Amino acid sequence: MAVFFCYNEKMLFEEDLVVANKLSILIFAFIGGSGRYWIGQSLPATMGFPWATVIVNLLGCFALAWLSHAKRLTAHWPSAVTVGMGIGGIGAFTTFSTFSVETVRMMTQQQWGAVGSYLAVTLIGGILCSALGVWSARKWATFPVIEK
Amino acid sequence: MMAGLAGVGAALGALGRYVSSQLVTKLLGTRWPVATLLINWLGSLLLGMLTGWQVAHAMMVLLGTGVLGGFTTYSTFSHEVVMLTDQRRWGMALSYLLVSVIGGLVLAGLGVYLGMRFSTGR
Repeated sequence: MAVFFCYNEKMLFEEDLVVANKLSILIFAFIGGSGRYWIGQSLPATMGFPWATVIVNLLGCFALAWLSHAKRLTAHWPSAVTVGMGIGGIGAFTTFSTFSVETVRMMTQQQWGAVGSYLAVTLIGGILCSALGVWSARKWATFPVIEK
Repeated sequence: MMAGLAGVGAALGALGRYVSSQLVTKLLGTRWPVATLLINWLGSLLLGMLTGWQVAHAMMVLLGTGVLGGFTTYSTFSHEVVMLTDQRRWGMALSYLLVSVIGGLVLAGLGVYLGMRFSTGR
């Protein structure tokens, strides 16, 4: 009887986690997506250069990398919050499709300088921001456990 | 109002990304970040099609900025590249980066072309 209960509770627990992850992703992605729209509205492209997408993607790169490695902080929360913030919130805040289509648009307008600088800033800047996020989270958020 | 529309779309897109990346990972494994690659490729193609088709503004905000913007992700892509270099898998990091970006551009361009064809053929 006890085994039966334990088995059932464990199954129920895993089901709950999946539902909690999905709900959390929906809520945080709503915030992330509308935040990206809001930044796009307040920062229109100057001279055809999509600053809003650059800023959104670079900020998101740092934030996701930091959150993924800041185990000391995220260990205090339910895992659904971390999943929701990372996959939902930051994942929906940043965008790959707009980046691709904007680059194609600048290519068809033959703005090669803008194409080159957009690709370079997004790709190299994104990698640097992600690396900075990983590095800073490992440095500051994983201090050694103090044993009593 | 429009921001809410983008938010609702992004929530659905992000949920779609979560579910489909779990499915792809289950089918193909995690040796190569293929789930993010396929998601970003598909999203680039579809956003290209919406752009070429020149759909109404509210529709573009809901489906383009919202659903496809939330479905595709740049932060995960960049983090995966950095984690591959962290594991000293340099060749894989570079090929993942190039395949994602060049494939995304080709598919976005193809999408714009297909969308324009479709809109003039209406």
